[in-house]
Amino acid sequence: MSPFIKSTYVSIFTTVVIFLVYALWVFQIMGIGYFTGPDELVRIGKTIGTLILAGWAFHIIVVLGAILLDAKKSGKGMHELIVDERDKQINYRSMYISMHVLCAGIFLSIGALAHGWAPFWVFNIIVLFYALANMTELGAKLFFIHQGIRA
Amino acid sequence: MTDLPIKNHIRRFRFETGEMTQKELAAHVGVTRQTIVAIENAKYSPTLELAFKIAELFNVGIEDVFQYTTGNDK
Repeated sequence: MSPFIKSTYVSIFTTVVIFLVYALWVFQIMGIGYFTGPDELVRIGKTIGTLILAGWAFHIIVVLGAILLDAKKSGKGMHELIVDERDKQINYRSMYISMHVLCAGIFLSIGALAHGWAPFWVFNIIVLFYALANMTELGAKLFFIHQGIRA
Repeated sequence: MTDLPIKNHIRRFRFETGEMTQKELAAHVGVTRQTIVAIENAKYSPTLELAFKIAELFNVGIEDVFQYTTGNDK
């Protein structure tokens, strides 16, 4: 398995873990009640800020660790670890597709805001669609890796 | 996804060039082995730059390695 495919599978794992932990933290441990009241925007902002920072740190550490460990075990050379033109094309095409999912979430959240939804739900619509966009991107990557890609 | 219209003879040229492996070819032209596999299986059309690099490595013209096949040619 190439480092590119491996990193895609590991990214699926980290994405699921990050957003499951987020959902558990927000809806089970803290509870929706924590995000209401005069400090709601500050609390929501801090939670989403933590999600982004901790999530990215976890993602980078796990993906890098998995690739380097695999390279060490299998004795892959540095040329096997490069991101070449095909990988870049797959990345761009997948990101383009996932962008539409994220945009749908942003438009939905604007609609929710217009209908007077609480900020907590508006922000979480964006978070949900961010997670969906991530999964769409990774799924699209796997599709293009296995089915081929046209320029 | 159907196969791409650009066919190639990379596999044949590899064997004619001292049975060069996909890994060796990939290292020579600066891509991963998976990209060479995808090109050989007509799952990816390389950029012109990569196509020229591959042809240059085999010391032949680009049209000897890659052919564009229209619907009528298939």
